[in-house]
Amino acid sequence: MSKRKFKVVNQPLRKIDSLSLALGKPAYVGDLKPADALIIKMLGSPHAHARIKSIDVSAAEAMPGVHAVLYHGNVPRIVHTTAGQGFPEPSPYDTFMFDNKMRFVGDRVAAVAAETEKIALAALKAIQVEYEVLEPVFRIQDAMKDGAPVIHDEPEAKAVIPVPYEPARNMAAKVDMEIGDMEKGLAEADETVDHPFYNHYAQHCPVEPHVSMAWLDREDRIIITTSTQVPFHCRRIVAQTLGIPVQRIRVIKPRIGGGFGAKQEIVLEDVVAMMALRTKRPVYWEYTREEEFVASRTRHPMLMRLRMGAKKDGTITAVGLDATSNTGWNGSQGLTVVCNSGSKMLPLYRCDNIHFLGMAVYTNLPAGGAYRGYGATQAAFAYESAMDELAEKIGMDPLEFRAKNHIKSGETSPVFRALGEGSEGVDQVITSCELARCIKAGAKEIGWRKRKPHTAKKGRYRRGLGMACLMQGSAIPEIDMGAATLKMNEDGSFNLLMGATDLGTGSDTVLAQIAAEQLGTTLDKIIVYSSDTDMTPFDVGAYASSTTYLSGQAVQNVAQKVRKQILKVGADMMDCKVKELTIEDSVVVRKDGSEQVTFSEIALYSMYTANQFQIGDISSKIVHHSPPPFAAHFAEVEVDTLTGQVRVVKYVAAADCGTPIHPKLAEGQVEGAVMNGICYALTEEYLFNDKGRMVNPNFGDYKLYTLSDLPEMKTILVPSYEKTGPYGAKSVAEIGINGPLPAIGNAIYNACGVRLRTGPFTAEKIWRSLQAGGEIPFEEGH
Amino acid sequence: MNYVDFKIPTSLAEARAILTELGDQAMPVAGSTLHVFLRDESPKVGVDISRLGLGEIADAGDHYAIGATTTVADLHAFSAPGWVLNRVAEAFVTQPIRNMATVGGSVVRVFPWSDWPIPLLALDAEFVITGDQERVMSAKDFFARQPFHHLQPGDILTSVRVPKMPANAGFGYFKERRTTTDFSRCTVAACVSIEEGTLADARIAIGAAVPMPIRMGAVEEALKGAKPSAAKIETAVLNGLEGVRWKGLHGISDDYARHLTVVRMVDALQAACDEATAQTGEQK
Amino acid sequence: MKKIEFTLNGALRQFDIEPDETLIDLLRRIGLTGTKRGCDTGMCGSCAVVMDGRAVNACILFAFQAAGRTIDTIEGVGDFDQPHPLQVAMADAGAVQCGFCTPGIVMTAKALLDEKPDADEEDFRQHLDGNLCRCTGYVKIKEALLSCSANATASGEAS
Repeated sequence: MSKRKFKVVNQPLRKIDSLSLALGKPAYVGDLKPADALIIKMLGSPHAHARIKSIDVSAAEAMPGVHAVLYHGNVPRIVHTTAGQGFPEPSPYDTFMFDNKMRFVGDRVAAVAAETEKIALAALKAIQVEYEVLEPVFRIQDAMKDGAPVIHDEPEAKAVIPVPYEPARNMAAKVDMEIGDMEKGLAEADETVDHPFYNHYAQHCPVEPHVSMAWLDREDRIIITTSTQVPFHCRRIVAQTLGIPVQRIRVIKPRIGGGFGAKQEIVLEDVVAMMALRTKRPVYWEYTREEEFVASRTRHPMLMRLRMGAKKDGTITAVGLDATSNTGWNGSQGLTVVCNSGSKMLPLYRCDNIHFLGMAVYTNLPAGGAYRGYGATQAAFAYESAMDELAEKIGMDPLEFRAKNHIKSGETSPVFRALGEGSEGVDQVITSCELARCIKAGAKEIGWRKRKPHTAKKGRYRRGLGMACLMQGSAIPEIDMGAATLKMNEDGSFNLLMGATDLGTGSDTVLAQIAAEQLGTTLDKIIVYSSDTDMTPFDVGAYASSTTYLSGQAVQNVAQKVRKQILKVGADMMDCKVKELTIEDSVVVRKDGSEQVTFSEIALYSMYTANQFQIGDISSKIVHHSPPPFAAHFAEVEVDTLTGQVRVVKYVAAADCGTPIHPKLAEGQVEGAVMNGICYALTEEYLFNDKGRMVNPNFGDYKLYTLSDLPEMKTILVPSYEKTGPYGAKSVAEIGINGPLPAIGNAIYNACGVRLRTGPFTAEKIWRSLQAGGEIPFEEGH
Repeated sequence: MNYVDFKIPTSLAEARAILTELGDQAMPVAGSTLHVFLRDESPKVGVDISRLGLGEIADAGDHYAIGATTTVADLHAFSAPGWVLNRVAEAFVTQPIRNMATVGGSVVRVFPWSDWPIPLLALDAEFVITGDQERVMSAKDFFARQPFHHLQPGDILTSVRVPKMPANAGFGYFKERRTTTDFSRCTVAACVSIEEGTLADARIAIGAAVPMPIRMGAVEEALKGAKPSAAKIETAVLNGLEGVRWKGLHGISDDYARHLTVVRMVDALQAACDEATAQTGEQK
Repeated sequence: MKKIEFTLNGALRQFDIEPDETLIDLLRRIGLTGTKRGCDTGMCGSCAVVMDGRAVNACILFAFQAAGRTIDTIEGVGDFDQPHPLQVAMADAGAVQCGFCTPGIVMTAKALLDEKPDADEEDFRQHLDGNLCRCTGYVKIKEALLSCSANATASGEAS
């Protein structure tokens, strides 16, 4: 396929669901709640680590309006993972619907379904629980010590793929990889750096918290309508957790109010399904914002050590990354997130000697899960901070140092093969990379040439420039699969049925554009229905930056097949050969211009006239590559050296995502991810008390930016053409979140000489570092 | 809140009668923006006091009389000589909250991060409580303890009197926060007047970094009669901290809370002096 | 249950309410689900409705506080056949990603523009400071809002 003029792809079209959402039409799970739905509320554990000695739910059960109480004594005990991943999952099986052991403050004790929320809350208070309080463990370093409290001591805990798993040592995952000889590489270097870094807890904060409902249809099947990124994994895991056949469950994903990875997880659905079975009534469960913070999923905090060496000429001789994540009370996505810390950043710069050690460790704190960036965010902070420090040591401009070393089109990295997701990875050669142009464009926009060292700056308010380079992937090669069904209607419109899951990104629109482009029709002719396990074909779901690249190819393939069928019917109707025909704007025309039939005429003919059949088909796609998108981010900050307060003055993100299928939505992905990254770098943090209880689980204390905080932001899409992707596209959704932590960190250093290695970059940390002459002793944060 | 009933009086007398009758069971509701911070779950009757005609700002000669249910949005929009509270309103949480929150609700119950007590202390505001008789309390007395303790059943805070800033005066206000809508970690309000190049009056109040908002009397005393220089301000602040108990909110240390407040006290006093100097300059 | 009445989207209506029922619960109970619940503490703005011309958070307002007042919700603002310019602008600017915050943003911005049709960027920044959006990074939202100001030039940029 070659570059050409597109008619639907790469055009400024309206996102197909955007007007209805702006009108406030009922679209989300909560809008569809039946009036007679019972309300579910969960009693959370007050202790970070405890065992239930006794529990008495009889008073709650007896309350008028209470229909069921679930707890570990009255539900199946089936070990599973809550991670919404392909089967068999790379995450350990370490979770039960309910357990008698509590592993974090907020863990499931018992759930009530009642006529009203008020009754449900009153019933929770009537549940009598006696706990044996166990010693908790909160820090990565403490959890790894000999004799540390064991969080998963249940005999059922196991890994289901052949990977290291030692729950007795709180070790949920481990991966070790070496290419060349890192120690030798370090010895060959003229300069080296060796520093610890720590990425802190953060939550996705979708404005719609997790919400699910379920009821039994007339055939006694469980219909689950839920805010999920993974409807098919959800169906499979709920069936497993309840011990019922997949066949008995239908999962419907309506519009969802943001996910960012948090909803790649089975958080509510097992309980709503169980409650529907018990009560035979529609049941509804919506997390409060506090529950969303504490009991859904978070970014995995990560403790890292980054070692690196380079020669004076800028050649990188060695890179070593030790990364240990705090996976919290369960091991969801623990292995794969830490694997991505290696696989999504280490190929970025050419180096012959690379060592990567990744681990995931259980603690009695909230559980990590999938979060936009997925391990790459963590590694980018360490790697890109260290790149700056090493550049300074060898006396090279950090931009020049990166430009000299970054991977280019036609090159490969041994990391691609060495590191997959719990298994070996997949070899690949980079087939599109415009990182060099991203760096140039971004540097120009931020005014990099005016950059001076921090030693040249004076005064209370000091400005600084910093940058970072990034890469991610596009789907998980040889694992992820997506499928699409396309059929034609009498008026020349099409139903596009996909398992692909639009979590608010606009993937329904992007995929419809691909279908329309391939069919030779317009976007308004595509009726999209996505993510319903009864009605649409399978798709792994919305994660791993996969939808445009992977599901997009499935859609392109099925549209190609349907296009052929249309041409064939057109040839029959006009009594000519297919090769004499082409399609222009929903019309099949003879190339000589002598005759034409419209799509509608073709559809009517194929339905009612002759050789009748349904024009339509299904295609599946599994990808063999995961072409990385690339980006160069630049930040300008201003530091108040008296208070330590830092302000982002300007942020520039230049990104190569291949062909942007929908440029505005692609920019929106970058802008949303960057803003999330800026908040993560500066203001978002979990505060825990010494009992492991989060003390700031609300938007008053856990701060996100609003429009009033928006700095000057500039997004530059630097197009490339990824020949393995649909119309040259690769991914864009995740990469943007990885930049702000290192770019802002580097800018703070450039402003005032302060190097921060633990996020977030609070005013107090900067002030303390200034007091200490540039750096405070490293500490594992929260 | 556990409301078992509600009342919507339309006159002050009617509201007072309801509040007197209900006693502890009554919960006056104006903007209701602070309800999420209240833990009281005992049965209450919500008494909507937002329709009693207490929502206006009146020019009362030497001061502005702010009706207690005037919203923060109205304080923000108000513009008149000697009026500075718009600057406080601008830094007060969000537009929907500014639209509902009232000045009365913002002061009768002081939270560690409350904004309004600090400027009202610095401006020597007075608080009018209407009970069987009308009483007027100074800001210092009003904020000496949780103000709602001053209110007996049937009492309503009806008005806040804020002296007009004289022409030779300046005001400095800082609210330290991570984002524009954050709770304060340190709030400082300073009000100075300058006569013939010296500080005729200096008033400064701090909050958020201390358990209850307070006036910094020692700093004020050290500045009165002095020439307003940066060095003098800094010395006065550093020497005037004795006896202050520092409390860091939202994850900051007590130590940093102190440091931040010192920096912002200097900033606020400097800003106030600069403004006063500019004003007197303009007059000449 | 107690009766109140208020003007909802232009029509005077009566409602039976619980004393502790919030306005958002009432609105959603009667089928006006365009008003979204995101935090229940007045800190995300997805429940913004307009009361007597001003944007307020329906999640922290008690329904009884609306008695005798005028409440406007997203359902009264526009429909497919006649969308409000803000709704069109949000859709066309790419400012609607997941869309969950969009009704609240439209309501808050509408309250501003109804009062000040030539609102500038500073006005929008100040008035929209209570609306969280996690998807867009606010860039496209800002563009959409500015394009609806009477100040907007032909190119869509406000002067």
